[in-house]
Amino acid sequence: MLTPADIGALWLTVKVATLTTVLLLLLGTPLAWWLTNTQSRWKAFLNALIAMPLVLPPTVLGFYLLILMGPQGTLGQLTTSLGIGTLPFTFGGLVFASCIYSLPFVVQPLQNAFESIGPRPLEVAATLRASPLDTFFSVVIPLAKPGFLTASILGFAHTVGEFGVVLMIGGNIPDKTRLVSVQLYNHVEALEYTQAHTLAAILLGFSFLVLLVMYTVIRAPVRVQKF
Amino acid sequence: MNEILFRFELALDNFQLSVDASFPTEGVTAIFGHSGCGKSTLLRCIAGLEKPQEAYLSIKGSTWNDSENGIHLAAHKRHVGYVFQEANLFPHLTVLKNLEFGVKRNDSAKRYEQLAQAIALLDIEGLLGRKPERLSGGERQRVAIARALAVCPELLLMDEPLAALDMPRKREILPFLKRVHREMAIPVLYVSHSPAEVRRLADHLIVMDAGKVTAIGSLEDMDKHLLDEEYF
Repeated sequence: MLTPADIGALWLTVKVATLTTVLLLLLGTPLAWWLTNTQSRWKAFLNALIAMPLVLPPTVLGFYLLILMGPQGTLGQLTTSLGIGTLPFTFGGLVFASCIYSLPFVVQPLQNAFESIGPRPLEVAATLRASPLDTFFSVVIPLAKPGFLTASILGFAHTVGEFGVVLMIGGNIPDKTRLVSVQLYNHVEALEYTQAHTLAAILLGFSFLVLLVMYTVIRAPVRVQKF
Repeated sequence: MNEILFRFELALDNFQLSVDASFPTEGVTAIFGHSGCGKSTLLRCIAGLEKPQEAYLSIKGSTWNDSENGIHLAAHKRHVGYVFQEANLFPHLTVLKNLEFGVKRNDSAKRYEQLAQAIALLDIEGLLGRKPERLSGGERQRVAIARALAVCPELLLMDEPLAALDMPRKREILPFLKRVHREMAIPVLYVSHSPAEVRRLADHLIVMDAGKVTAIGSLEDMDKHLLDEEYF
């Protein structure tokens, strides 16, 4: 049923989504923590910037990323001078674009989880001799666990579903940048409806499963009771 | 040396704390006044949870605050125990892990001895394996008090530890508080707006009003302030 090209696209999709989720958790956690605690007047500006992928048509985002990563773009010139070459049409470029595209889906759940903890548990930890960094690992992360779970699931699932961005930054090279959503589009273009059905059904089933897991595991919204 | 000296100037949004006083390093000193008079803010300043514009605080010869010389010891480096109005136990840890949280971050030689003493004193031996959600309000507050004692504090700060509890729970905790004060040689600063509580527990009294200390002295000399306040 699945052609080797389909399997290649599925495998590549899993790789991109996993790497994107891991990178976003590593970068998004300090960013979300900073946004939760800062009094800076840049906070609203940054929040708006991070939320942009939620409302922008993916093609718009993809277009600007293509320009940015291209030979004339700032990022393109940086990567060229570092000897990496330009990022469009590469796996690295795909991961970079996915990180931008899925950023709000990781940062926002983390930020909500951190905000709902409130200042009191941090003060209690300080009176029990825990330094701010120690408190972050021993109190904040355990209390924000549901937020981390939501962030991982949404970040992963949203990356799997990307299409417009991939297309714009050159995602149609088999086993390199051809993700499953693009492969599906190729099948439909070629009137290969049987293969299209199989891939579409896999994505449909996957999305539902992911959301089902999320709503089963995280029954209650993130809340910290006062004990 | 046997006095704790403090001076704080702290301007918050619609409130100004302006205090300059001292209290003895022995026994229980109650900070008494209406709600909103700055009692809790004073306690928070002493614990290092607020950053006053001007501050001086010296405890048994060590200086925790001296804004003129740029000294502001971080909250986690001050050897205080803090009991809040709500127990604020960490919900993801068992009672024992809650107690050990502070003990593990403390290098005092007698910390495990003190932990055992705190557990015995507050009679929470039977609760150690439970999660905070499985405790009653009174039990939670007993654990919170034991947790604050177990870090071997040089000063125990208690911010209306009974205020969030109903009458039967208050009666449950009060004897424990008396035992703590009697059996552990730790100076206590006890915030309260209840004259009855202050009479039962305190040796000295600091009366506050509108962010200022209005009277200070031993409990016997200060009794009229407690009576006066009861009519408000």
